[in-house]
Amino acid sequence: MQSVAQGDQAAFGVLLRRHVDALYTYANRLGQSPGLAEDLVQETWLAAWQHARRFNPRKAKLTTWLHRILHNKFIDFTRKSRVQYDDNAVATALDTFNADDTEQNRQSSALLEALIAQLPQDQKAAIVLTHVQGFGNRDVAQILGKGLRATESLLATARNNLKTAFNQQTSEQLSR
Amino acid sequence: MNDADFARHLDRLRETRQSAPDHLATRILANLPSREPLEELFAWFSRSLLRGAVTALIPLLVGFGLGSSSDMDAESPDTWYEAESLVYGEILEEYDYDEI
Repeated sequence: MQSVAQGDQAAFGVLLRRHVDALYTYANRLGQSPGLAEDLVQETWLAAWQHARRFNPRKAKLTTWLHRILHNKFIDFTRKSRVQYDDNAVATALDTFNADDTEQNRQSSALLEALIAQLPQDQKAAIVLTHVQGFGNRDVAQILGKGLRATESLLATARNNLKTAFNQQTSEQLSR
Repeated sequence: MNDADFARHLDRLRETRQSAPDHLATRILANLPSREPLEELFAWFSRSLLRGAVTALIPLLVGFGLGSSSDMDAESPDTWYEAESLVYGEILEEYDYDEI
């Protein structure tokens, strides 16, 4: 990252290829749109390039810093234009839900993903960062710009909401 | 569904990580702008100890330059003496010399 701070484009390319998939995954989960995800990821890397000197490895890991930039870009985007989430995602996931054990796990995962997409923004971000991106609570707190306890509380609430919604949807579907 | 089953489903989410489209990295690298001028300037200054020393000397040099170029005549000791004399003269006029 020191090389990047001094304008080394080759070093920047190495970092970009190492972290671009993780950032794209997070952006796509937040924005629910591949096009928006690409734009967010591009803006994130451009900001990282321009402000590389501000990165302090003693304060955060590089991937945490990059996710924080992306998260802030997404917040900016949602303030400018309200994101419309796909309410049909849960219905689509439920339509394919059946009692076949071999398929049920995959379909449960699809339903869970659809339900995550409908969580409030902060809860969704916390769940995705923890369970998809694999960050620990401290990193999640840094990315979301919250305290550790607030983040743990947010995660607990998100998990509870998710579990309640998941149980409700699956029991309703299976009783039909 | 019990907590363990739900946790298992959450753990499985890790498998849903996606790959960015191939063109994305290329597009980002192709659109890299030059850094902001202030950032560039800051980077240049902090590249070496010598430049750091130059950075520290610049405010001193600027201050010296400003000080040299300003008009000091108006505040020279002669002017102060003249101004003091005038004030003292006015006092003498206002009060009787003996009172002072």
